[in-house]
Amino acid sequence: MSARSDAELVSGVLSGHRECFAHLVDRHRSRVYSVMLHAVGDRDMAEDLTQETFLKAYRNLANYDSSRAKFPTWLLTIASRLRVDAHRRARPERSLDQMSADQGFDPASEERTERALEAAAVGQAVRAAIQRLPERQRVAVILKHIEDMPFSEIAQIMGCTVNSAKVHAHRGRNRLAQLLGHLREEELQ
Amino acid sequence: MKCSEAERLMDAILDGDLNESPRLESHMAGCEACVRRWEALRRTVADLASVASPPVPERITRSVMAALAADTAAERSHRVATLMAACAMVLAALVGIGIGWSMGLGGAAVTLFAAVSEASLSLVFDARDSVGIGFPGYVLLAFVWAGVMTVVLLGTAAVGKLCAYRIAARRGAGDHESP
Ligand SMILES: [Zn+2]
Repeated sequence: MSARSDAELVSGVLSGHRECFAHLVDRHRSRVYSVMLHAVGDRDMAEDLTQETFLKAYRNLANYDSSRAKFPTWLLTIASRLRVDAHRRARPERSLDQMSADQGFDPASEERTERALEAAAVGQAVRAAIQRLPERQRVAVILKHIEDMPFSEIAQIMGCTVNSAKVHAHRGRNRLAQLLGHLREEELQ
Repeated sequence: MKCSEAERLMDAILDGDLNESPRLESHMAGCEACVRRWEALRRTVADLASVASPPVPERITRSVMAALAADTAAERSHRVATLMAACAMVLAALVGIGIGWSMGLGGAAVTLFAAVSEASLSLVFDARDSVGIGFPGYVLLAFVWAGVMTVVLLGTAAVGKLCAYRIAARRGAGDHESP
């Protein structure tokens, strides 16, 4: 069952086999959730938005065209729109302590090695810095450097050209370098 | 080479469009600012790559599938409600036509009733969608509506019948006897 391609599972759902959709969710929930969590910085909101993304995908499944986009790319396009809408509705203060706890980073635990502590601190600093990027730069940086996606797909998800997706990523990288203290402000143009 | 061009080469490398650039390297051999920038960008990208992917809550699949099942159940009860309301309409129409016929109103009343009940049917269907009432409320509304339409028809029929009797009575008074 899990060996079936996304396109096969999609046609399975469309011909009335709803259980095929569960396989699609299992297969792609992790990426959608990861992008959502890095983008909104709030665990509950990321989970809600991930669920909403899949529900919306299910309702619009007949519109999915496998020749135009890979299934996860299409999902992230839906996710991106939902996130922008949610962002317009409300922008809650994110809890980085909560995010650290989610990811098993507990600074109080004595069993942590120095290395893990350091990695946790870096991870926390990076996540905090990402939150301070403007919307489009944040999305471009997450998709490129955390999710490791090609710019052709990032452009599809962001609904822009490859060049402008690159420009957002470049600006986001420069700003992050400054926010993380790797680059002094006066060195940034 | 200018620093701005060196920056473009750095971006191309970090974007994955370029593996290495001897020109950038030779520029950096004499430009400390670009060396610092390159180090900073590389550390930034490495930091981003090291951010752990968060563990995804397993329950997401379950909750998505449960929400879809709930959607389908609502859709099914919606269809049952529509069917029941249509049955109520047909029943009301038949009763109305039967009574109208027995009162001797004939074809005109039947046509009028068919038109009115069809119009009311579509009105109720629209109401269901715009008001968003639940299943019991919808069936109740359909029955009430069908009942109201029946009463209206019977009222009209009764008035028609009364007029007919009066006319017949007046004629009867003039002609002395009618069959
Ligand atoms: Zn330079």
